[in-house]
This record gives sequence, C-alpha cells and structure tokens, in this order.
Amino acid sequence: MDAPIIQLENVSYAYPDGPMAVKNLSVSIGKGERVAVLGRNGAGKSTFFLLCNGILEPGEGTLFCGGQPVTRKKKDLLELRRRVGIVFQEAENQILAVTVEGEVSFGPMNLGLPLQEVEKRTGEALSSMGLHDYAQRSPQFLSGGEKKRVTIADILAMEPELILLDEPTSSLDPENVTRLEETLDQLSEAGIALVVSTHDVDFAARFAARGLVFSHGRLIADDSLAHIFSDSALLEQASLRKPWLWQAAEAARPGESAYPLTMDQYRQWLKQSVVSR
Amino acid sequence: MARGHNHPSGSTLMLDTLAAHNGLLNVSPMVKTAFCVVCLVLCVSAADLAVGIFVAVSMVLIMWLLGKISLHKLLHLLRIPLAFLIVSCAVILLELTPEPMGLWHIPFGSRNLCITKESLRHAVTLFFQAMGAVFCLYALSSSTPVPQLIDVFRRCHVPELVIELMYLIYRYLFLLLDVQQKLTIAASARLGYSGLKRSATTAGRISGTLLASSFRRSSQCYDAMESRCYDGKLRFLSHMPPVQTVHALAAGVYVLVLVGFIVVRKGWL
Repeated sequence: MDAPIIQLENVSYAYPDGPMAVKNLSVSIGKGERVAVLGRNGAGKSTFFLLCNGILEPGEGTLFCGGQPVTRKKKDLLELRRRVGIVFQEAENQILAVTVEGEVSFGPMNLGLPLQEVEKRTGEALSSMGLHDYAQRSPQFLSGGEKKRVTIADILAMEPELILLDEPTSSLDPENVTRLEETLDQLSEAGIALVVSTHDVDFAARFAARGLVFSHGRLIADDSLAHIFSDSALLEQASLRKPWLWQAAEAARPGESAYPLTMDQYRQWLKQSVVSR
Repeated sequence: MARGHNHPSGSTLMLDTLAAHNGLLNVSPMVKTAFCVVCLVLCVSAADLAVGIFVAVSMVLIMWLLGKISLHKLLHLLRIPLAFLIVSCAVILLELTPEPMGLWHIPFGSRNLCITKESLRHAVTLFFQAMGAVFCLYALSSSTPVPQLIDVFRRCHVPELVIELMYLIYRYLFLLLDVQQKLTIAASARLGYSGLKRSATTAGRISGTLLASSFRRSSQCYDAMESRCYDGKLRFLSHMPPVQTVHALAAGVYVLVLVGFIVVRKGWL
C-alpha cells in the first residue's frame, strides 16, 4: 500500500502564551480520501490544518509526508506545502494579488517553476474553477462565491495531492454551497484528497464517509460518519447534532443502528422499508 | 456584504473603477506613464498661461474622447483639486499693502487688501499651470489600473520593498475601508454619532479597533502566504499590453507639438 500523503504521530502543539491547542494527535490521510473534520470552535481544527501544512511546528511528535518525516528544512517545507494546500476560511485573508490571474499564479511562482509552466497551471486552475473570463479582474470586485473559487484555484495551481478546506461553507449562500459541492466532487474525480472542516453536519454527511471529531484539542473520534452519528455520547461531548435526514429517518423507524446520510442512501432506505412491509 | 462593498465610493476608488473600464486600457502603461510624466514636467517647467491651458484642454480631450470618460465624471473628479487650487491661488491673488493700489482693493484693518495686475497675472498663470499638471496625472491614473502602474515602477527598478508595500497597501486599502464602513454602521446603529463629543469618542474607538483588527488580520494573511511557499518576495504573473508603434508615435508627436508651442511662447526662436 502507498504511504499516506500525510501522517501525524503523537503530535502536540501549544500556542505561545496559550493552552495546549492540539494534544497527542495521531491521524493519517491517504490518497483521494474525503474526510470531514467536526468539532466546536476552538476545538483544534484550524490548528490541525496549520500543522499539516507546516505553518506551525509540532511541539512534540512527528509529521510525515509521503512516508518521510518533515523537518524544518526549507526543502522539506516546500515539498510539504506543494503536496498539501490550505484553502483558508476567510478568502479576504488569502487573496493577495490585485488581479485574479496574479493571485492564482502566486503559488506556482513561489515554487520556482518556469514562467511558461506557471502560465499553463494558472490558466488550467482558472478554467477548472470557471474563472477564465475573470483573469484580469480585481478580486475585490468579485462576489463571495467567486472569491472562494479563486482561493481554491490558488491551491489547485500548485497541483497538490491533498487540499485542506477550513470551513468553506461558512460565508456562502445556499446556491454557492451547491456549487462548492460540485467543485469538491470535481476535485475528488481528479484524484485529490480533501479534508474539510465544517460546523454543518448536513453538509458533512453529504460530503464525506470518514469523519474526524475534535474536542478540546483532542481527536476523540476517527471513524465512519455512520458510526459517529450513532454514538450519542460522542455527539454530546463534541456538541454535534445528527443530520436532519438521519433524524427524520430515525423518527420514522426508531431503534435501528444506523440511518441514511445522503439523499441516495435515503431513497434506498425508503425502498427497503417498503419491501420489509 | 456591506453597502457599497462592490462599488466603493470616493474619488480614489472611482479612479480605480474608471481605469478598469477605460478606452485606453490596451495602450501600453509604459507609453502612458512616459507620456504623462513628460507632459507634466513640460507644463510645470514652462510656467506659462497658454501652455497650461493647452495641456489641460488636450488632456481633457484625451480622457473624454479616447478614454471614454463622460465630462460629468471628469467634473466630479475635479472637485477636490479645484478646491485646493482656488484656495491657494486666492492667497497669491490678494496682497496686503499699506496703501490702496492695483485693480481692486478693500480696507482690511489698518491696511489694504488689493489685487494688482502683477498678482492677478501670477495667480492665473499658476492656476492653469497647476490645472495642466493635475490633468496630466488624472489622464494617467484614470487610464492605468494601479497593478499596471506598479508593474511600470517595477520595470523602472524601483526598490522591491517599495513595490511590495505598494501592492499590499493597495490590496488591503479596500479591506480596511470595508471594515471601517461596517464598524461605522454598527456604531451609528447604537447612536455612537449623536453629538459632537460622542462622535469624536466613537471615531477614536473605531480607529483603535481598526488597528487591532489589522494586526490580527496581518498574522492570518502571513499564514496564508506562507502556506503557498512565500519566501520573502512577492511574485505574480502580470500581463501588460505591449508597446504599439502607433501609440508611441502619437505620444511623440504630441510632445513635439507641445515643445514647439513652448518655444514659440517663450520667444526662443
């Protein structure tokens, strides 16, 4: 089996003058996976992301990228950041350049690629996010959904194997959330692993099969979402609720061990209930 | 999103919008910058009424006919520099003398406030000289988006630090304005602007909050830059319209005409 893209082993991190933000964290993300990261504010989700990208240095423990331990050497960090990209929660904090094209080219330029390659990658990233006509526009004149797509194109242009998205749905309207989900599907099809932190359990249920639950800096569950949502004690500890679809199905037929998470599963589940009668 | 987020008001931001939709957008910014700077220098150093009028009028014509900016918008742009000019020219126009003299005078305390022929000539010349210069700069800034202008500076080997500061200031200016606008709305919703004293306190508090949020934001921005392998140098792809012979030629012809006009006015021939 291939080495996981990223693996954390007993990693702890405390912010300067702050309490432990992440305690004894061990987790690995493999190629092409889709993972939802759940937990309340300040549970350690964002710190986890910053650790995965080498922005923060683990106080204890080791970070592996493609099976190799990551040191603080520039070469290692460059390689890590090329393979693992973060789409930050606030697009405004990520967008740097004054044209969309310049913005998307920032990552590839920093990778030291030849100009031709930078142009090619920038063009491709813009096209796949449907932003080709916006290349010369100023990012500040774009809508929220468009800005989010620019920030995804930013990372895409670096051709990563894993993209971490920090609460991507938090500032989007429902229409743009739907578009985002299509975009994520498209990225998955391209073989890119996706880790998405979110407070929206309905979105998480649609998006992923595997979930990571954080609470007070600890990873308290790394399991299938079906297992996570059937564990009431766990949900209470992390103050999560069950997805509406799950709750609706549970109300109709209480006592089962697991319920549907996606609309497709729900249809299947309905058919079963008809058959069983 | 806050009011005006997509269409910021105020004249700096208006220039930005004008530049983005200007008729001269595909002219090389190098040509535009060189042209406007040369005209500006000629206009200021000639210090001549007719030259000032000539430059001002031709720049207005360029912005209106070639840049496709409506005269109404040009007039709107002119308000702020015009106010400055009128005030400063009025100071030069009026002289304080012991005796009433000149074209017009009124007593002012124990002395007299006069307009002499000399001061009138001086003030009018200065006014049009400055107008010519102002329109030169407007012609540049209304037709060249800031990113392109920064690129021109980069090619002229302005130090990298200055270039990066210009980029970041330009980029975050809009964010800061947006935050400031939201804070102001939130403060006035809680009656923070009723009365002069309270307005002052509120404005002070908003500035403080703005500073704090800038610090917070800057560290987040730095994280985001680092995650994309930032290593101390800002590099972006940029597309600059290439220099076209026609444009360079037209600019050259205009400058020659202007030089000729100055020579004739100065009686150097």
